[in-house]
Order: sequence, then structure tokens, then C-alpha cells
Amino acid sequence: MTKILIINLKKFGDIFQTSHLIASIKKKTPSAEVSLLCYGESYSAAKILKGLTTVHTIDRKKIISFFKNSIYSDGLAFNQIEKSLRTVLDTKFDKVINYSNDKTSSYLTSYLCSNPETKFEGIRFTEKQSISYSNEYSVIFNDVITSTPYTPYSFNDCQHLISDLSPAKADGVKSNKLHDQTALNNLNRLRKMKNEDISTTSIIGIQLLSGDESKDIPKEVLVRTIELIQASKEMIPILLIGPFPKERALANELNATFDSKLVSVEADFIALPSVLKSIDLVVTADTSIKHLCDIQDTACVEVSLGGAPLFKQGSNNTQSAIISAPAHMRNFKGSLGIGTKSDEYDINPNLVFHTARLLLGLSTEGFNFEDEKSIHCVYRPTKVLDGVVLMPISGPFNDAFEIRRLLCRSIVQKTLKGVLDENYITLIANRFEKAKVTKVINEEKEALSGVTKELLSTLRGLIQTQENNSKAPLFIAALEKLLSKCFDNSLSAIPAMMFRAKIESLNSNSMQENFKEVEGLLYELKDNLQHSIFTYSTIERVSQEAYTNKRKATSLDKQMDERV
Amino acid sequence: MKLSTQSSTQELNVKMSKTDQPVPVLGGVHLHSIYNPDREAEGFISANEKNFKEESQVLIFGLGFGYHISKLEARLKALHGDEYRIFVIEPSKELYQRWKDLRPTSFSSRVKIVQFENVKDFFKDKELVEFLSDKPHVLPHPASFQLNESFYKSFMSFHYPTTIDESQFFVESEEYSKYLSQAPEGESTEEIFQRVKGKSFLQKHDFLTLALSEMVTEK
Repeated sequence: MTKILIINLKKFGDIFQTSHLIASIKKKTPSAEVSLLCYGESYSAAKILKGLTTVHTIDRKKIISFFKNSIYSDGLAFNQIEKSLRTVLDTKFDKVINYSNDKTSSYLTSYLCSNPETKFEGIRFTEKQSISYSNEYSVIFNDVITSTPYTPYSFNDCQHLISDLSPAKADGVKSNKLHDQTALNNLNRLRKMKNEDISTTSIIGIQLLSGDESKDIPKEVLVRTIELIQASKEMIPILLIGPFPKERALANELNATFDSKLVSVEADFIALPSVLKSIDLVVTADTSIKHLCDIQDTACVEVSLGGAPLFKQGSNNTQSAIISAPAHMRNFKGSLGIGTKSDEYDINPNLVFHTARLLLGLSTEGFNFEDEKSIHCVYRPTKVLDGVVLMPISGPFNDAFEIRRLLCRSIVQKTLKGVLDENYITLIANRFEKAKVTKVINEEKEALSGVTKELLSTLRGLIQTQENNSKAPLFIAALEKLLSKCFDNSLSAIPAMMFRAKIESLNSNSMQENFKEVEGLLYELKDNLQHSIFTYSTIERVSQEAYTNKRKATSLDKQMDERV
Repeated sequence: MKLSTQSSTQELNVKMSKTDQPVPVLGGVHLHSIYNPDREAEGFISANEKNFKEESQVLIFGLGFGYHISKLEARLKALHGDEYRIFVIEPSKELYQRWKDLRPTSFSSRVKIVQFENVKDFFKDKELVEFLSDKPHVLPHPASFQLNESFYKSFMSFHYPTTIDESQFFVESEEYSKYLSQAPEGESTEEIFQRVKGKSFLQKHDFLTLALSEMVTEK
């Protein structure tokens, strides 16, 4: 029996997201025993995940308290961390998956893989303190997704690729049957108050707060959205709050605005799944609830604001939609720019309401929402061969940026798998006008020739240095220029980033060995640039075909019209 | 650090109260009411009642002869069932011994009396430290606190030495303790973190030490 440990030291949302990976592992290897290692503060989320044999925890709060409070010996912190991991180490896992991929989890992966029979996936530190990647996708996860504005894969998709798993449908979370029935009865009673036929009434859960103020839906937007829902014939709003004073206070404040007529449901992670099962749609900012909706198959309208990592960790349920500023305008660090709560860019509540109605099938108007002042777009999770992509559906998004963002995935796919998913390419080609695709591809080809030029200079410099050490400065300068391509806004930055990650983790013992490895990596980069060229040619061809097909279809329509 | 307590240098006498209960008198200070220690204790606990409704873990400064502890235990049991714990800090060995000899009060196993004269020794008591890390409510017994004020202030502002050799005492794992024992003499926690970060070849426990270093510094 294979014993697998997933290390996830992140918060509730990420813990819920692990559910997708657990389901995929179980689908591939039903007999696998999967355990999770998380911080104690995330245990309430971890314990409701299905498919886990054991949840191991590290009491970080206690460790930090021992360490920061001078009355305690630091020895207590040393002891606490060792003690937390003792049973994990004793379990003798066959594989450790470093899911959170941060520094702490990477050190822990190295510690837990000190037994040579324990394999790892993701990253860990080597004995020489350099980073060890389990495969090329872990390079993408750690060095590309975190650096490029184009985000080729969401974290969840990339984690599946690292572990060589096909995405399986998440198995939901544990819930109590009695709670399920009580929630359903209560909510049906609420439905009946609006319409005698409960099947014609949808309950919309409004999640009030996220853990980060910059991501929260502004109060005025919440009020207006609730007003719109309340006024509709087919929808009822309910407020979803966690057991926290801040959320209770906001719920009370909102309720006062509505003469205390709003229903609010306070639920912890034990009761919440039952509530989510019985409601029709959730409106939420970037919260752990959205991830819970994803694994429970509850549709949601995610309002992605502030530094919410839309393309890395946006909703991935195809029944959902995401409202966001256009991708090219998002500032994912959340400090400045669009996505913060400036009045100028506030979300239009009508857009939230309109999107909710469309998702529930209460409207057939389509996603095109007319509002000249609104800068917000609608993205929808769309299933593709190796996961889920967010397709721009409506709004003032930037075509060139979106084409690059979507194409980025194909470049990585071709580079690492050697083949392209033509259906995905067709999806892109059908979504954007041929002229716009062509313009992007021409610009990308030019950028690529710039990288190729620097690559050849670096190779030349390396060969000269191998023959004569005094030429080393030339080589170094050329290498620096090549690495500066990582900061380009073009897609050619992707292979450059992959190259940089490998250069930075070189581990050779001698200069000669180093030169050899760099030379190998330069030739690998050359091959990878060829993969990009192939990808560009393919999208050009498919885009041309799509254009021709559209023209044919239009001309046929015309002929039919004339005959009629 | 050895802090001499006021009580350790003063004479301990025991008087009988009007209710025929023994009352310790230390350096002339009566630690309980000479009229009715039980009633006084009842009043003391009632005055602090609001603190115990949400707090079921209480740290008491001062044993006296335990009348206040008995009343507190009864109150906590009524409020929280068996989900309560009381730790008592007492610096006077003589007082503690006399209480044991006379046994004027008795408590359940959920009450633990910790007696040391040296502040550092309290922080070496693993059970007490574990209890303190849960942030209990602190309840100073007024007469005991007044008598040993400087001791209790030192207790609250104590700084445990941060050297690795001092830390080793707390590490239960033989393997990890052995690893820590290899640190240069007098090396502090911060120094071991820095030294391990600079090592050219890491071993198993270095990874654990670096994980700890990251964990306590990450935001």
C-alpha cells in the first residue's frame, strides 16, 4: 500500500483546494493512504476533507509563542517541532508531496525525505542548500507561475502535472446528514415564503468578508446587490457568516439597513457544507468559501478584488463565473492599482446580479453587460485537457494580453510534453479575431529572435571561455543579458525563466562541470525556443482555419438568406 | 538567577482562626483571615467571578493554606465541569511543607502546586510551561503576592537564557538533543540559525532547524 503525505502549510482556502489533488490520487491509486500535514490553525478545514487517512498538525502558534515570549526557553520550540513530526517520520511515507512549496515546507520535505526510500514531489532543499525540483512542472510552479503575469497554469493544475495526475472530480467534504436535512428544510421554508413552488426560487448566499480588507466586496456594493436580489421574483438573499465578531457585526449592520428582514446563517466548517449543499449560488470575494463551493459543486460568482490571485487560485467550477478587472490591469500584490477598492473602479452591483441570474439560468441575455463606466470583466472556468482555464467572456479585456495569457499554457505544454492540445489552441483561435492573434504572434516572433540572439552570444562566450579563461567576463555579460529576458513582457520570458531556475540551482563541484552543465542548459533553451516557434505556427494555422470556416459559414448564411 | 524570596528569610508561624482553621503567618503577615478564612476566600473568588466564566485555566500566585484554591476549584467545576485546570506558584518551601503536614485543604488532581525558590526552575517545569503556553488567567492571592511581590514580578518578567546548551534540557528526542549538543558552547538560537544557513553541507536535523527558523520568522 502506497503511503503519501501532502504538506500544505497554507490557510483554509488552500487546504480545501487540496481536495482536488486527494481525489485525483485516489482515482489513480484507490488503495493509496493519503495523509496531510498542516498547521494546527488549519485543522478545522483539514478535518472535513474526504479521502485522508490522517491529518498531522504542527502547532505553529505554540512554537511561535515559545520562541517569541522570553519567559520560555527556545528549547521548547525546538522540542515542539520535533515532537510534531515524530509520528510523521515514524509512518515512513513512500512519497511526500510539497503542496505549499514555501521555504518551511521545502525544509520539512527535505527532513521527512531523509530516508532515501521516501520520494518527493514539488521542491525541496538539497544537502548543498540548492533547490531540487522533482520534475519540470515544479520549475514552472515555483519559478514561472510566480514570476510571469501570464500564469500558464493554476496552482491546482500545476500540482496535478507535478504529480502526473489527471484531474478527477473532487469528492466534496464531510458533512452531517442531520445537518444536511435541517439546512434543506430551513431553506425550503424560506423559498416557500417567496413562491409556493419552491423549485422556482433560488437562494443566493452572500459571503460577507474575506481575510483581507483589500479583497472584500465594498459594503455599498453588497447592499445594492442584496437589494437587487431581494427585489427579484426568483431569488432570496441570505448572509453567510463565520463565527467571528467582525462578520457578525457587519451582518447586523447590513441587516439594520434592511429593517432586519435579512436571514443570516452563521456556520463553522462543520455546518457550512450542509448550508452550501442547499443553496443555489454564492456571491463571494476571494475566500475559502469559494474553494469549498468548488469542491461541493455549488455555483458561485467570485468577485476578485485587491491582491486575490485570480489565475493561480480562482474558482475552478465550470458552473461559476469570476468578476474581475481585466487581467492586464490587475495588480496581484494588492497594494496599488486596479483591484483595490478605489471608488472609481467599484464593482457595479448590476453586473454581480446579472451574472448570478445568468448562471442560474434565469436570464438568456448573455454575459455582455452594457456599462460604459465599468472596467470589470467576466471570466469563466472552462475545462481543457489538463485542467481548467479562465476564459474571458465579457467586458473591456485586452485581447493581446489575454491571447498571451492563454497561449502561455500551450508553450509550456509543448515544451514539457512535446505535444500541443489542438482543441485548446482552437478554443483560443475561435475566441479572438485572426488579426489580433496574428499581431501578437508577430510581436512574439520578434521577441523570440531577440532571445535567440542573446542565447547564441552566451553560447559563443561560453565556448571562448572554455578555451581561454580571460574571456569569462564576456560570457558573464552575455549570460546577464540573456537572463534579463526573464523580465520581458513577452512570452519568450517563459523559456528564459525555466533556464534561469536551472542555472540558479546548479550544484557542480568544479568549474569544468559547471561549464558543461551551463552548455547543456543553453542547448535545452535553444530547443525550448523551437517549441515556442512551433506553438506560434500552430496557432497561426488554426486561427487561419477558424477564420476561413467563419467566412465560409457567413457566406453560406448569405446564400441561404438570398435563396429565402 | 537565584532570587531570594521575602518569605524564605522570614519566620513562619501558624495561628488558629476563630473558625478553628490553621492560618499561616509569615514575617508577621497573615496570609488568610484570622476570623474566617473560608468566608474571606469565598469573597475573593466572588469578586473575580467574571474572569472565570470564559477562563477555565487559572494560574494562582500564592498557596497560603489553600482556602482560596478550594473555593476557586469549586467555582470552576460548577462552571466548566471537569474542563478546568489550576496551577499554583509558591516560592516558599517552608510554607508548602507546612501545608502538606497540616493538610488544612485538599484539591483534586486538576490542581497542581509548583514550588521552587528559584524563578528559572519554574520555567523548567515542563507541565507548568505547557500550561502557561495556553495563556491561563492569572490570579494573584493578595496577601501572598504582597509578601513576595518582587518574586512574582521577576516571575512575570523572566528571560530564559537563549543559549542552545540551555535549550537542550527541553528536547525530548535523543537524536535531536545530540545534534544540538554539537553547537559551539554559548551559541544562541539566532546564532545556530545563522550558522546552519551558512553550512555547505546539511544533515537531516539541519533541515528541521531551518524549518523552525523559517516558521518563527515568516509573516
